[in-house]
Amino acid sequence: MILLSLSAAFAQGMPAMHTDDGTSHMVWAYVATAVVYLGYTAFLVVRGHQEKV
Amino acid sequence: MKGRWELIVGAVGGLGLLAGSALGLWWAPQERFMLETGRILYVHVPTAWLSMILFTAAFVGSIGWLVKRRWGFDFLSEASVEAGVVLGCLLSVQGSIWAHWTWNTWWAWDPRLTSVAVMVLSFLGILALRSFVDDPEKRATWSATATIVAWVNVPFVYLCVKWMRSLHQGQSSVANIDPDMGKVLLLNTVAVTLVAIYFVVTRWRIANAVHQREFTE
Repeated sequence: MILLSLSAAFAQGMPAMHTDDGTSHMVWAYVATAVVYLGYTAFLVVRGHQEKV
Repeated sequence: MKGRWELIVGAVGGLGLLAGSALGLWWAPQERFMLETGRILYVHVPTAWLSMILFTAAFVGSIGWLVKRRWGFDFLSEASVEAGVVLGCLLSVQGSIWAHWTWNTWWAWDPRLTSVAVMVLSFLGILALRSFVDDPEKRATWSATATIVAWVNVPFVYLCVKWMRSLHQGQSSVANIDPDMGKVLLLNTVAVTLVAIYFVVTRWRIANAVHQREFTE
């Protein structure tokens, strides 16, 4: 319990320890989102074309 | 192409997601503690909600198949599990990227992260099960049973941050964040819902076509 509280408190203080504002992490998350949504859409289009739906 | 209403739904959803993401990146205010990584919220939270909703749709489809024995329910289950796994994997990647900056680690054995991993892996196993069984009736019945068992974890994924002490923050909703952030979150949630409808309906049609082919061969 104490360890969890300490780790939660530590996590809350993390931003102050960073030298960047997290822009690159945010960009990578959005890139991953675009790749997955567009990728699965492309998969469905190709598969649908193969199955003639 | 005639009667493919889901294409319009998917296109509207895609444009909504594009607009919502742009607003989240450039219009919404920066989160106080998470700074720029806080903007991941606008794609992470809708993805999480929809993956759980899709697994619940699969659960409903599985019960429908076991009770009514109508193929449409099996197609719903198959389509929802596949789309749910896709969103579940994305959810884990987004969360991992966010965690790397905020927690300084890609992964922690936290109740929310662990239960999400169990959820995604168990439904991935159901997709594998479907590919191993050739007989359509056995495939539908076995995967429906496995889906019902796997779904038991879904409410736990949602509620574990309330029930247990967790590194992961509590549920984010439009009610507990800045109103401008809430508007963007709401827009992206509606958009992802429309995209998910497109995914499931298109995958349902594919499952139906494969089924017709299996019975004519």
